[in-house]
Amino acid sequence: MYKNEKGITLIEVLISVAILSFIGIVIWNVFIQGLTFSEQAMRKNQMQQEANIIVTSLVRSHQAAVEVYEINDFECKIMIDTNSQSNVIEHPQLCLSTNYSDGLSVNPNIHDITITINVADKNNPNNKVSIDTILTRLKSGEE
Amino acid sequence: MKLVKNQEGFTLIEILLSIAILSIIFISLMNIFPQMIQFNSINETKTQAINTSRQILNDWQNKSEIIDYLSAPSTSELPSELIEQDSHYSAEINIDKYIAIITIAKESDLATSIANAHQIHVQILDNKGTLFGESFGYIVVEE
Repeated sequence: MYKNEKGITLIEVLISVAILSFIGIVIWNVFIQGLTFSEQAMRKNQMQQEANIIVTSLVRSHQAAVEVYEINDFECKIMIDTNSQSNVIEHPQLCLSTNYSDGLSVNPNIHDITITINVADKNNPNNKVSIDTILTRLKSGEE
Repeated sequence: MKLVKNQEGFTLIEILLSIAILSIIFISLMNIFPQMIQFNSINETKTQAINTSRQILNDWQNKSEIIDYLSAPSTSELPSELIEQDSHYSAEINIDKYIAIITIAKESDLATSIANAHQIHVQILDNKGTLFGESFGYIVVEE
């Protein structure tokens, strides 16, 4: 039925496998890169929302504070400590910190606090978000 | 059995060329996908702009020269950073690539004689005029 039965030589097969695998590797790399990028972008989005939550809860506790309180950060957690209770903000995958690494004592009736919130991925510290914000409230009369 | 008469096929060059053309088309289509990164960066700018506008608001609410001026606008001199307009004063400051526009109402919103409250509005725009964040407040001037 087939008149030409020469087939292809080993060299030809090897060359075609080489070309195919080269193209395959390129496509595979693009695919993997796409996955990494989308993972990073998702994390970044999550970090922005986390930063927003932290800013909101700091502002809220600043405005509600009745006495001097402390903002501490320790091992990727941010803590808002009053005499009676400690409010810990943490996240399993994210490292949270402020620009006051030694802790900060705040008297809400006197101080307005300019603070930077840093949120970074624990697995990839280069992927991070920082937000500068201010904690203020109406000061109650005499200082 | 001779259904297909032309069995010349393609040369390697033709295949490679077609792959090259296809990959150019795909690369140009790929630009659609990293949009998430773009959206993330807009989100980050917005979050920061909102916080920056709050910082500027607080800053301007406590500027003594403006409070002094608002308490007696007819007799004292206009602070150099303010521009007088019909119903308000305005000021513009540059922060990196962004512009903050501050408008302060001439008229007080309070109807008492104990204190005046002038509305202050802070907007953060980019150089194309897109609004990224804004914040409102009052400058309280005691008589």
